[in-house]
Amino acid sequence: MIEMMRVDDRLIHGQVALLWSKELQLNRIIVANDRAAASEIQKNALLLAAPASIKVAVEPVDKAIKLANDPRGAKLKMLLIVNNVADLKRVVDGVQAPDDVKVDIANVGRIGGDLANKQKISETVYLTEDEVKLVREIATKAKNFVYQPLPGDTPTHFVDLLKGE
Amino acid sequence: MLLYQAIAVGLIMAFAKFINAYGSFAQLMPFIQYILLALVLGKSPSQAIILGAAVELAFYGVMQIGAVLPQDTQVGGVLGVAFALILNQKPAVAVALAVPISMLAVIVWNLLKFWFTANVEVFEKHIRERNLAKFNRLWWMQVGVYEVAYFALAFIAILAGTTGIKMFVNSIPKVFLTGLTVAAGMLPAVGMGMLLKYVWNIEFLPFFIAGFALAAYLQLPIMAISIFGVVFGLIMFFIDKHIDEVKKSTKQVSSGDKEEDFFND
Repeated sequence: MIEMMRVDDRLIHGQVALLWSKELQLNRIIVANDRAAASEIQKNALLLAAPASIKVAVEPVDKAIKLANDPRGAKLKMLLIVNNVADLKRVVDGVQAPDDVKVDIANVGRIGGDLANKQKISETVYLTEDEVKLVREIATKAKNFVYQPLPGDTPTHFVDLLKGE
Repeated sequence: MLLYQAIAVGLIMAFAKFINAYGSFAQLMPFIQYILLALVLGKSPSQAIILGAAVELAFYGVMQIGAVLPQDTQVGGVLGVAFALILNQKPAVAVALAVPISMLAVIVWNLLKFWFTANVEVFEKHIRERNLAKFNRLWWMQVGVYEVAYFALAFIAILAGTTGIKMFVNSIPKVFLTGLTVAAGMLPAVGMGMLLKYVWNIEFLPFFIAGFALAAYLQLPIMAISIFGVVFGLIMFFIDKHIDEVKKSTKQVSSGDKEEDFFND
């Protein structure tokens, strides 16, 4: 089962490999990213970044959703990671998970892209107008939609961070 | 004298921070920086190591992951040990100063990071314009400001703070100082607890009990227990290596289906 869906532009790194895997007692990580899945180098780097006790699948978003919905995974503790808000929208819509599964936008938008057109949502999240719209759509479905980079951080309702709330 | 001490500690701080910028291996650096600190301050290096070790134990569980800095152990360590050396104080005082200083110092890092983040846009502009010279200039400016900021922090802290800290330390009642010594002795346990939170695995239990028994019943000094720890570690390493080799030679045949493999144990 999917324990958490997370947006992180580095996909698998220390915060995920060391802290969240421990916190959620993970044994599988699904990386849903079209570009990473198409690149052998990125795939191998992500496999290296994960702890040895966790199996990792790096798949295009559509395939990853299928993998997450596979009944064979019912007894596994899986984390689903994407690296942008648009992909998050796709997985939140596509994956059959309980309404209250934790959806966490942790790190996104700080590096690369057009920073001038982004607004700062939190210390580690910068979003464009379009992404903010997507976030609001996601919020209508995801009941446990938070900002929580590390397990030790207090989870904040993500929509509360948006301006004009 | 104080001016010289302030400059000296400032330089050591800048050095410590410079090394720190190159990654986690700098976690091992404090001992070198404490020895340097003692040398430039004309104090005993062995006293500096004793103070440094007490401080390091209190920071045992502080783990920096990514850009999130929980406590600035470098600033706390250097200033805590420097104050204790200058004022000829006990390890308890070094710890009592280092911990709050390390927490306060995070503010400086956050201010710097604010500027670094703002620079990303400028860096990108330079790349778009293929202007390597400007890119490099900004990069070295960042390094320079970072170094100067921490030099200034230590310089001002020692120059302006020493008299105040001296008065503060002298004004602490004796009973309280004893309490502080006890508390400083307990902090390593807190550090250990924090560290275990990250790495704990039930398989470590026997080693944990063994370490406790070696200390509590056999009354072995910490050095002896550390050596036993290395021995245990090496034994486990070689056993694991053999298990790994066996596993590789009898590797589970792939089902030929990537998906099937993902769900199989």
